[in-house]
Amino acid sequence: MSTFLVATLLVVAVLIAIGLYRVWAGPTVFDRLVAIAQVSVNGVVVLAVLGFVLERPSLFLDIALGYALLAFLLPIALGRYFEERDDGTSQDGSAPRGRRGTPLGVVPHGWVAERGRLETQRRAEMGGLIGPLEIEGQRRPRRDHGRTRPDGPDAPPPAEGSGPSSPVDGPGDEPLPDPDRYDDGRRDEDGPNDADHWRPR
Amino acid sequence: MTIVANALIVAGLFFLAVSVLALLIMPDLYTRAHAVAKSETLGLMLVFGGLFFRPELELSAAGRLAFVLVFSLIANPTAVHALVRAAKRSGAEPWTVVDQELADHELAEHRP
Repeated sequence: MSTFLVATLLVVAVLIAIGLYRVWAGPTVFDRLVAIAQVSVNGVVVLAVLGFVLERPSLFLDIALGYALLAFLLPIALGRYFEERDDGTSQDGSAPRGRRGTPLGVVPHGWVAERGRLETQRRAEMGGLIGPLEIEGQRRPRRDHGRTRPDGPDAPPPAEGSGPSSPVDGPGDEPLPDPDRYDDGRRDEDGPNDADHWRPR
Repeated sequence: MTIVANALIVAGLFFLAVSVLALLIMPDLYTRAHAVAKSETLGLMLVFGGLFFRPELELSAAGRLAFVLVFSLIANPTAVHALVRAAKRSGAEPWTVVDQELADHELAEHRP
């Protein structure tokens, strides 16, 4: 039992407590994950030093190794899980994360939803020149960069009347984008995507 | 030997503390991740290097200590990099300082 090592343990414990503040404060889920990565590294240090304090270093270093392995995998896996492109799809094209994340009790990142809203607004201001516009209450067409569209990515814009010609109108009286052009066969079973109008409390 | 060990551990604690301080006060995700990926790894390496010189070290513990050290050296920056790449793809904006006066000046120049 060394007094110096015990003091080291206390200092690292204080550092972990300070790092947990960032986990709590966020503001985005990635800030939390970066802080969790840091707390994990500090945890590895605590385990190693604790082994030397208790004079069982090889036993505690085995535990520290296992903890380091988990601390390596956790940010990578959760980073991929929470990754969200501008159009709301995640990396593998699965459902938007806002719906997947909510049952976990993880507060969805406000800025991703905000950016999606701004992008929708920008496309509305450009009059549908860019592509299908998401209108609240309607199913959002998947953007898959022309892989499953029958006429390729350089196809002409949808005909007048089928596209988002007047996006400021409310939902309901706006026809869906041409299903033959944009439908890739997948359906959202549980209603419209709520990633863009979910607001954290 | 113990003196060397304690000096290394104190140096490592310094870098760990700097990393946590940066996590507290830095303005955006990228700067905080920078602190975690680099300063934190250096602090961990210094603390583990200090533990090498402690008198409690056994031969079986030395190999494990070296393995955990090398593994963390590779894994910790990699994990933070993957995390920040995911955040970048999700649209996290870097923190910037806008010189409002200069911006107004340039806007006025380019306006017809």
